[in-house]
This record gives sequence, structure tokens and C-alpha cells, in this order.
Amino acid sequence: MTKRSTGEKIFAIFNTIFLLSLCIVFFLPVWHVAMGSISDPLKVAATSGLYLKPLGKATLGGYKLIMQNSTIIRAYGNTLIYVVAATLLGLVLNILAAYVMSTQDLLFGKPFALFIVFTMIFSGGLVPTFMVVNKLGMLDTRWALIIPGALSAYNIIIMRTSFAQIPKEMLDAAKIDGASEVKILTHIILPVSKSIIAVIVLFYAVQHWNAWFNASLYLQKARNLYPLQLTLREIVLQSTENSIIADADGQDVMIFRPLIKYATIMISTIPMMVLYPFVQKYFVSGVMIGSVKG
Amino acid sequence: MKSSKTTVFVKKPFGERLKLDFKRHWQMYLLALPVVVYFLIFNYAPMVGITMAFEKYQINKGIFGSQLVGLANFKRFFTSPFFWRLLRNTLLISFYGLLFSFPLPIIFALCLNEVRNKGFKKTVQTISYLPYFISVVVVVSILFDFGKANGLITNIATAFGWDGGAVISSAKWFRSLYIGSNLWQHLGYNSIIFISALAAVDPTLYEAARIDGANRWQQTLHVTLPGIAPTIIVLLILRLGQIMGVGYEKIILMYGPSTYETADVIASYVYRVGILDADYSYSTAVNLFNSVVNLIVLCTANFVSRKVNETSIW
Amino acid sequence: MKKRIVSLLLTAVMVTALFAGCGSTSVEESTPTSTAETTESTESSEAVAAEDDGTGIPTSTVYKGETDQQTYPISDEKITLTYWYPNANSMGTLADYNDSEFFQWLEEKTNIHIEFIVPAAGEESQSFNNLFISGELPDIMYTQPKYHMYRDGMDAAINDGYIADIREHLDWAPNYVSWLNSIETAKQDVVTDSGKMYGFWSFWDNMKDGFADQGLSIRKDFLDKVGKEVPTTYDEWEDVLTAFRDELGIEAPFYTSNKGIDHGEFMAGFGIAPRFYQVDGKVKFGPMEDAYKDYLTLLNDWYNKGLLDRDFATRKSTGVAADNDMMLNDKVGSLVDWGTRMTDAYISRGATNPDFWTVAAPQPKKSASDPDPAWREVSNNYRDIQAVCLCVNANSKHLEEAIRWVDAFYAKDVYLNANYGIDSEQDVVWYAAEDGHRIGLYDFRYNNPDGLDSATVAAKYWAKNPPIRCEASQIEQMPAERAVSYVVWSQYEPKNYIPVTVTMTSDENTEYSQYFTDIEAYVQENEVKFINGERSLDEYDAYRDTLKSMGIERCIELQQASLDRYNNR
Repeated sequence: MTKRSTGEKIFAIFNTIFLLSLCIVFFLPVWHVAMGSISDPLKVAATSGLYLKPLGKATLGGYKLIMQNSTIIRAYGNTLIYVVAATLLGLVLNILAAYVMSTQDLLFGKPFALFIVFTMIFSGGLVPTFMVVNKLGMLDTRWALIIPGALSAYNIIIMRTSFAQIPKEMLDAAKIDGASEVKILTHIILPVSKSIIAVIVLFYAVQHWNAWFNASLYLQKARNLYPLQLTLREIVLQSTENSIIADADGQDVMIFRPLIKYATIMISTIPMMVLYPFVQKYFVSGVMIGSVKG
Repeated sequence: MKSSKTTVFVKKPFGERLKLDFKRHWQMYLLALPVVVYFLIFNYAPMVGITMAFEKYQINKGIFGSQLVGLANFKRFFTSPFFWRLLRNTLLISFYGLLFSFPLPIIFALCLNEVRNKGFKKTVQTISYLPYFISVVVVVSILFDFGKANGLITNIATAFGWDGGAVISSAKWFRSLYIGSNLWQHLGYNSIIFISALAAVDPTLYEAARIDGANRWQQTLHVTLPGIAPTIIVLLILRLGQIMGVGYEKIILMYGPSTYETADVIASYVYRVGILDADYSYSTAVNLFNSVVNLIVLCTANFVSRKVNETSIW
Repeated sequence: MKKRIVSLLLTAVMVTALFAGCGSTSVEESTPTSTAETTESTESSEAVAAEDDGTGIPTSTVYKGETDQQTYPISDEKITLTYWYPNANSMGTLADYNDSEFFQWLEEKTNIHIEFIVPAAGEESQSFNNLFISGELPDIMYTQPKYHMYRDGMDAAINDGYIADIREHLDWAPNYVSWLNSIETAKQDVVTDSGKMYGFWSFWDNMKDGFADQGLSIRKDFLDKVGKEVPTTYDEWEDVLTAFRDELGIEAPFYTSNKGIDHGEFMAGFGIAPRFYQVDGKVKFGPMEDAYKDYLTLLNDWYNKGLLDRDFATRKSTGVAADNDMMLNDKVGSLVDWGTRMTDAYISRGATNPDFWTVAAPQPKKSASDPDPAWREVSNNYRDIQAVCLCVNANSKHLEEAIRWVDAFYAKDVYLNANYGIDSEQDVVWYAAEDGHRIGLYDFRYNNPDGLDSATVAAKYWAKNPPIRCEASQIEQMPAERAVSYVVWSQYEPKNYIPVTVTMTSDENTEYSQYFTDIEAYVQENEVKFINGERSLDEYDAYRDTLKSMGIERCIELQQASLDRYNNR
């Protein structure tokens, strides 16, 4: 362990305090949601402010109500399928695109880059995209949630920036050794890019985990294919009194309604909470691993 | 912008260069093919829909049958009594947002990087990215709770001399509340890319600097920052390229007639028109306008960056 | 002889044509009475003769579908119809509406299987538009024209070939025809300006004078504490509100929201309405009237005196009902509320005050001798029409079966089952009221033996908001204290109301929306500012001038044109 100067030690103390207070600021509202989700629903409706502990008698009623809904279990399954498939597809395409974009002296290098960047700025909009998906026969199928939106120009650019930072000497060394372009990708670039790959996997996974809009657009009949977020959104909407046609006997008897808003957030957040530490361990220096000597 | 041909001085005729390039790089082009096909189908094909901006789109006539009306949709937008206000609000929110929420994740990542205790570091990281998953509906309801007449934020503001009542219904406070809550929600998530970039900096460079006698602060200046500079710059350019992209969902949840003055942005306005009317032509025209502005800003930023820095997107 | 043969032949041709026009063979195989009646209505629709009253709609001797004139099964072979049914909100935990007892019963009866297309909750309008974009309309669509409408309007939807003009097929819809003949005003409301029929409009049964399900509500226990009566004039209101504030320290004596101060109940005493309204056929726009300035002056005065909710500008409700936590913690003295929430609904939500009680208040007047205001919020119940219209795809492969299927809902046998349970479930799910209507059994729904929640029970055992809706009996079963609020609110005749069924042409609509979206935002913004004093009421004329420059007068003209056409139907 290298020794630290006094200045560094003082900084470390302030840093710790700073980060701790940030933690509290970040965590409190999450805690508030967690507490709200197990509180006595009648008190939830009546109390404002941050909940630091469950109000009234703690109850799992909100969760029971959600889990009773068999559509939730199925929706969880659906989302897992979509996240895995779409992330995989996106990752592969992303790597290919970033690799090509980061390579020098390709005749079509610049046009390719512009081709990609352009898609980030201009879009045909909702209606034409819908028509394309429709023409491909993807409506009401799982494909509609896996393929459209799988590849993001933004993520390509980020990955490409990382690839471009790999020392040219490494690439040249490999070329001299006679490695083909594909081999350079698989044996040189990917092994040292664990960090950025982890980030891109996270980005895609989170994007698909949170997605609901495409599902509401493309799944007209196939409700059994709904992803988690769309189902949850419906449950939350159902439990608010927003129905357009006034219900003459719309008495508020679904007692756990106020909890549902909070409970749905908890059940959809926990898997993501678990994902992150797993991805974190790939945040390592790329050059150390697999560095080529000679 | 430079022309897309790689050299100005033509050494060999284009056809020959093409063949050579292909021979050398055929694998590359093969790898690029699926990407190109993907974007062609899902991004470029729909782009023909942009013609809707110049039409009076009618569903039964479709995109190609609807009557062309030239710039009428744009004219309608530009002559709206609220146009300048919308533009101003959009740009201000975007700009102030950039000013505050761009540097802070970087600083956060740097501070985190200095932490020695791995356990503490991991915990802080995980906690920081949790707010991202709280739905925006809940965040806004918390904001309302704290921002109303006797809410926490209002009380604090009043203690400091504010006399305008509930902050959540004050046009003067809107931007701060909007950007502040965005910051809270996205700081952790946005710092991930920087944390990863920091982790990827070559440790031998730190070694070398240390041997040269640099202290931690100097190491930061001379190793760390340059190490993540390309990431920072590219992200900044990308962010600038979304300058017109203030989304409507959160604005709609947060605003009200008393805050329209500073809160109403282009997207929320178009959303309202859309609800009343399902007017695809109009919303396409406005989106096209936004895209063009985004493009101009992006190209400028990229150009400047390339000149100053040699880092650019293309 | 030749003439005779010719005339015989002609008659034969005509008769064959008539029967051919009847459609499927099931008509011919049906029982004598129904054939006779069907033939009758067919004849009249073909002949447009003296049998109708000049509107071209056939007459009917049946009252409100009392006798089912449809023949069952509707289709000999089992067919499937697709049905766009935007009721995700009411599904509870039901996975598919085909799990509903009612729809199962209906399927058996009609021999038609329904494939439900239920769009995601919250995305109904989007989904509706997408139906047209994809070019594949379902056979039947349950639409609320206010939210789900073909962009260019009803006539265009028919003329462009998407929606079937039911007028052409009334012979397949005898039950619906019987309803058209049973409600005096129906014939004017169910047709478009050009006389076509966009779909099957939905009606309220047994709501004799219609009912208002929302209105002014005031805390009775507070009134008792300050020793006052329910106010009927603005002065009395001010009195009561001041007492609430001074003696009881209530934060929001009168609770309002930023969407507009009220839906018209409070301002009607000034002779105005929130947006467009009519006086004797002439369209007016509330904020442009002088009386509106007086109204805002009053509110501004009250705001300054602390009689209005200080935070009203932050309230994001639709203008009805109040924040739960404020209501339950005695911070609200009066508000506009739903009938279903009066009194004990709040207690079951955890009101902390044991004396919590609300009562309905009448629309205030300027002075007790003024005539009653001619306004009532009736968007969902105007002249017995519920704002729902079931449309049929003009290109449906089973056009006739689809129309007949929808028509079935208008027969008493069917709609009784739809409102609140099928025959076999008597005394389990429902019991019979005196007038023959079915009332859902409270315990079955709210303490369900199978542990289902109330929403799922509703979805499973009956149909939500069916084309004929029988709420009145249900309401009559409510605690008397609640039912009385409906009476208080319903006593007004909505003379100044512009009917839901007034429509604009596509061009008019385009022009109108160009102006009105901006005008609406501007009006909302300024109302808030006038009330809380941010903008002085001296500037009201300048405000009106701005509205003029934004095109309000053209908008009034356009509304007037549609109203005129409506009146000429």
C-alpha cells in the first residue's frame, strides 16, 4: 500500500463524507418507496412527506395482490426472454458496428460512420416505423420486441470510442503476425474491452427491462406476450381512479390500491439491483488483461 | 465538412481503389453488412415517413397519396403564438441541464475512484444507480409533496427569503426543480460510463507518474483526465446533439397553467396537439425541425472538437 | 292477362328481393312473429314510406327492446369476430374477456366466438389510430368518440370506406331500431350531419331524467359546527366559506384545481359555462363574456380572503374530487365530487374524523329569486345517450353477423344479463329489483366467496358499460344519503349544454384545432393568473383582445355551424 500524504488523507475524509451524504440522498426516496409499499394503505393515502418506516401496520397485501395476478409471472418470463434475446442481438451488432467504425483507412469508413450517426438524429417517426414492423409480419409476435430497437447508434459510438483507444501498436503487431480482421476483433480487441462490453450490456439490458411503449404499440391482440413494465403500468393505471367513463358504483374497495404504485416499483427494481454488482466486476483495466508482449 | 472521399488528391482511379480496398478489407465489409441491413430496414425505410411533414397526411390516402402542402405545417408551427416561448424554454432547460448534469457524474466518478475500500465503493455505486429505476411518476409526486405550500422545499425557500408561495406552481422555480430532480435520478446511472472508462485507464501510467513523484492530484490531472478525455468529449458532443430533445413525459407530469411560461417545451406542446388531433403531419414537421437543429449543433460540436482535440465522432 | 302476369312477376321479384335483402337463411327459418316483424321493418326501410316519421328510420312497435327481435343463433356455423374493446382498466385479474360468464353465455346464444383486442391501458387512442394505419380494422369496435375518432370525423370514416353506415342495414338491427323509436330525441342524436349512422350509440336505460353523477359537495359536519345551512346563493357561500376559515381554520374552504375551476356547476349562476355553450341556439364562449369577468372577480376576491385553496394551481386533478390526504384530514370544506364518493366512501378510506359527512349542494345563484341555472355536466349522459358508439367495419367478412351481434345487446333479455349477471346466477350474483332490473349483490362483489377483488368480479360476471346501461336501479339501491345527492344535482335542465353528438366536418376540425389548442392553453394559464392576482382583472379586455387575435371568433363560428347542422338533422 503506498503511503498517503496528509493532504490526501484529508481529502479522503471529505470524500467519504461527501459520498455518504450522496448515498443518503439517493437512498432515502428508494427507502420511502419500499416503506410505502408495505404500509397500511389507508394511512398512505392520508400521509404526506417521506416515509421512514412503514405507516401503521406493515402488510404484504399490496404484493400479494400483484403476485396473485398470474399475468405478472408470465410477464416476468416474457421480459426475461426479451432482455436476453434483444441484448444479445444488440451486443453482437454493436460490436461489429463499433469495430468497423473504429478501423482506419476503410474506403467507406466515413460514410459508414455518417450512416450510423444520421439514424440518431433523424427518424421517420411512429407511424412509418409501425408500418414497417407491420409489413414484416411482426405484429403480435415476440420478434416485435426483440428486433426493432435492439441496436442503438448511441451505444455504437460509445463502444467505438473505447475501441479507438486501444493502442495501435497492439493492432499492428497482430497484423504483422498475419491475423485476419476477424481474428483481430476476437483475439485482440474483445479481450481487452471487457469493461466497455459490460457497460453496453448493462445499457441494453436496462433499456429492454424498462421498455413498455413498443409493446403497447405492437402487441394488439397478444396480451400474453406483454412484458413486465407494461403489465405493471396497467395495474397502476387500473388502481388509480382515472377511468374515462365514470363508474356509478366505482367504490374504492380495492383497499391495497395506494400500495400498488410502490410495490410495482419494488418488484421491477430488484432484478436490476442484482444485475449491477454482477456487471461491476468487469470494470477492470482492459490493457492489463491479454496484453500482448512481443 | 470534409468530403466523404478519403483523399483529395486522387492517386488512382476510384474503381481501382475500390477493388483494392475490398480485397484488403472484405472481412470488414462482411461484418458491417448485418449492421447496415438492420439500420436500412428499421431506421432508413421509415424515414420516408418524413414526407408527412410536407403533406396533409390522411390515413386513408397513406404517405404517398396524401396531398403535398409544402411548408404549411412548419408555418403553422412558427407562427404559433407560443413558438418563441417554446423554443426558448426548450433551449434553456436543455442548456442548464447540460451545465449541471454533465460535469457532476464525472466528478462523482472521480471521487468514487479515489475510494480505497472496495466494499464501500461497490455499495455507493449500487445505491447511486437505484434512483434511475424509480418511475418518474413517483418522483414527480414526491416533488409535488415537497413543493406545495407547506412542503419541505417551499419552507426552506421561504426561510431564505422566497415569498412566492408553493414552489411547484411557480414558473420561476420550474427549471430548477426539473433539472434538480433529473440530476438526482440520473447522476448514478450516468456516472457508470465514466467509472468504466476510469477503470480502463492503464495502471502502468499511474505507476510511472508516481515514480516521477506526482501526488494523487497531479496524477488525476495528468493521467486520469487525459485517460478519460475521449469518453468525456464524445459524450459531450452526443449530448449537444440532443439539445432539442427535452422529452415531454416528465414535463407534462410536472407542469400546469401557472408554470406554462417556463415549463412548456416543444415536445409537450406537440403532445397536446397530438392528443387533440392525432395530427401526424404536424408532429412530424416539428420533429423534423428539431432534428435539423440537433444536426447543426452536432456537426458544429464535432467539427470544433476535431480541430481542437482530434477527438470526434467522424 | 299480360299485364297481370307482368304485375305478378314484378311482385314475385319484389318479394324475392325483399327476402334476399333480409340476408341469411335464419330469418326465413325463424318463428312467425319475428319474421313478420322483420319483414315489416324491412319493408319500411326499403320503401321509406308513410310507416316512418319522416326521418327515414323505420318505426317499431317494441319498446326499448322488450321483445328480442333478433333471431338466434346468429350464425349457423361457428364464426369468429374480432372486437376492439378498450377496457383493460376493467379487467381486474381476468386474463381474457372470454373468461367472463356473460360473454360465454352470449357466445353460446349467438354461436359467434369473439376474439377480443384489448389495447394496453392508457394507450387506447394510440391503438385506435393504429387500427387504421395497419389497414386491418377489426369487425367491431367499441369507441368513445370523444377519445377514439377517425381523424377526419364520422362522415369521412364512412365515406372513406372504413366504417359501415348502419343506416343501410337497419333491417339487421331491429332491437336497435326499437330503441330509436323509444327515445324521443334519439333520432336526432344518432345520425351524423349527413344523415348517416356511424355506429350503434349506447343508451342509458331507466334514467328517467338523466342524472348528474358529479356536483358540488360540502362537509355537512362542518356546516353543523358553524350552524349554517347548505348555501344556495353566492352570498351564502361566502358566508359559509368565511365561517369555515375563521371558525374552523380549514385550509381549503373551497377546493379547486388547475384544470379549470369547475365544470360549470359553480359559475352557472352567472349565466355562463366554462367553454362553449349555447343560449337558444347561439353559441357562446364563456371567457369572452362579461359575466365571466364578474365570476373571476368573485373568485379573485375569495382567493385574497383565503376562501379558496391556496395551492389550487398545483392541483392536477381533472377538476372533480380532491387529494385524498386533504379530504381525509379535514382540510377541505367543499369541492366538486363524484356521487359515488359521497359520505361513507371516504370513511372507508380512512377519514380520521368520525363525524365526516358530505352532502350535495345545489348550483349557487346570484339571488334566491333568480331562475335555476340552465346547466348540468352531462357529457356522459345527455338525452339518455352514453358517450359510447359501437362501430362495425365496412369491409368485414361477416358484416351481417357483426351487426346482428351488436344489435343483440339492445334486447332486454340480453342487456339484463349484461347488467349485472346472467339468468342462472339469480340470487348468487344478483337479485331482482321491483322494476325487473338486476342489482348486483353487494356481498358477492365486495366479499367474494372465491376471494376475487371487486374489479375482477365485475369483469367475470357481467359486461362493463354495455351498450344499454342500467345504472339507475343500482343507484337506487345505494344508501339513501348517497342517492339524494344525485337528486340534488340532477334537478337542472342542461339547456345551455352543447350536445356530445354535435360534430364538425374534417376541414372545420382542422381549422378549429389549429386555433383552439393554443387558445385553451392561454385561457387556462390566464384563469389561474386572474384568480390568484398575478394578472390584474383590469387587463381583462386586453385578454379578450388577445383571444380575438388568436382566432376565438372563428372558433365560435365553427361551433355555431356544427350546432346549426345538428339542429337541422
